[in-house]
Amino acid sequence: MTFFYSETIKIFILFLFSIFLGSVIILLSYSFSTSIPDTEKVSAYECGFDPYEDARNVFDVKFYLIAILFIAFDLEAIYFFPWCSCAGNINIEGFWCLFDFILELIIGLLYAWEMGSFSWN
Amino acid sequence: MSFYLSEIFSFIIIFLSFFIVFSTSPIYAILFLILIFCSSGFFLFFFNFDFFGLIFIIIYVGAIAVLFLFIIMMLNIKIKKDSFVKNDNYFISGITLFIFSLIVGIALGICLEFFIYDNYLEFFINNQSNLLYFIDYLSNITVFGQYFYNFFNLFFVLAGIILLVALIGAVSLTLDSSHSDAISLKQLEAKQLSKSANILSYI
Repeated sequence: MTFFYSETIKIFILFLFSIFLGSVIILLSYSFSTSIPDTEKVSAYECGFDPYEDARNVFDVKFYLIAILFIAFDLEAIYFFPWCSCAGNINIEGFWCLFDFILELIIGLLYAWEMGSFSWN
Repeated sequence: MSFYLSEIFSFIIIFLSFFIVFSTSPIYAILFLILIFCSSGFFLFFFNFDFFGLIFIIIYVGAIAVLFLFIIMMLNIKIKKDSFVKNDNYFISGITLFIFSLIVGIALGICLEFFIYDNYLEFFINNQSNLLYFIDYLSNITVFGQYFYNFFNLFFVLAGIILLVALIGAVSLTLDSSHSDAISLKQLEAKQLSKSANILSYI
């Protein structure tokens, strides 16, 4: 057992325990509940009619744009964590290049804001 | 124990990739892909790459899988109960299956050779090497940060520029300014009246 595993084995035990607890709850609620399946109960119900339309509809492209913006800012946020963990041990260029990174992030954010990608009009 | 767990996770990843390829519905394929991302994150975790394992889960499951889900929503999928996939073209499917099994076999062979013939296991069992972890232990995120920001800070700035270009490209592709502009949606009488059969009025 290395030092790494001796620290992270607690997380693994918690993970196994959560899987165990979730499966126990699902199995108990499945086995102890009274379920009498019926064709009218199981079938999909839409105001008394059979569902005649597909659930997939045309949606706005702005949902997709929000997802792409989330990816960009998510990647930019992930770069902050290693910098913060060792800010005292890196040289002056590495220290200031994060500020340039933040500047580029602010430019992108202002551009997206100015183009109106956050508004739904 | 952790060594065998990493082996188990590698086999789980291979089996889930089989499920992705042979599942008929693309929705189930996406769900198996998300399971692959999670299990490869755990797989990296067992080789002390804790930061990269968590990044795998955050980026691929949290961000990239959302894009795949949008693509699934764009596809026009009708799942009927009695229409299974009838593949009459056995030649192409046979060749595809052969190539796929060849690739998987080669990968498995390389993995087994690595696991059997290397003295990798003895290095991990040896307690003297583990002493180094107790004396001087740097976490994965600290090592990555020191190495990346000391020696590759130019690439870091370049990555920022690439992300900015991607962001501007996504915004300018999806948001057409002529549609979002309120003036263009108005009915302009002079513009409509100016339209005639004369082709010179369009120029």
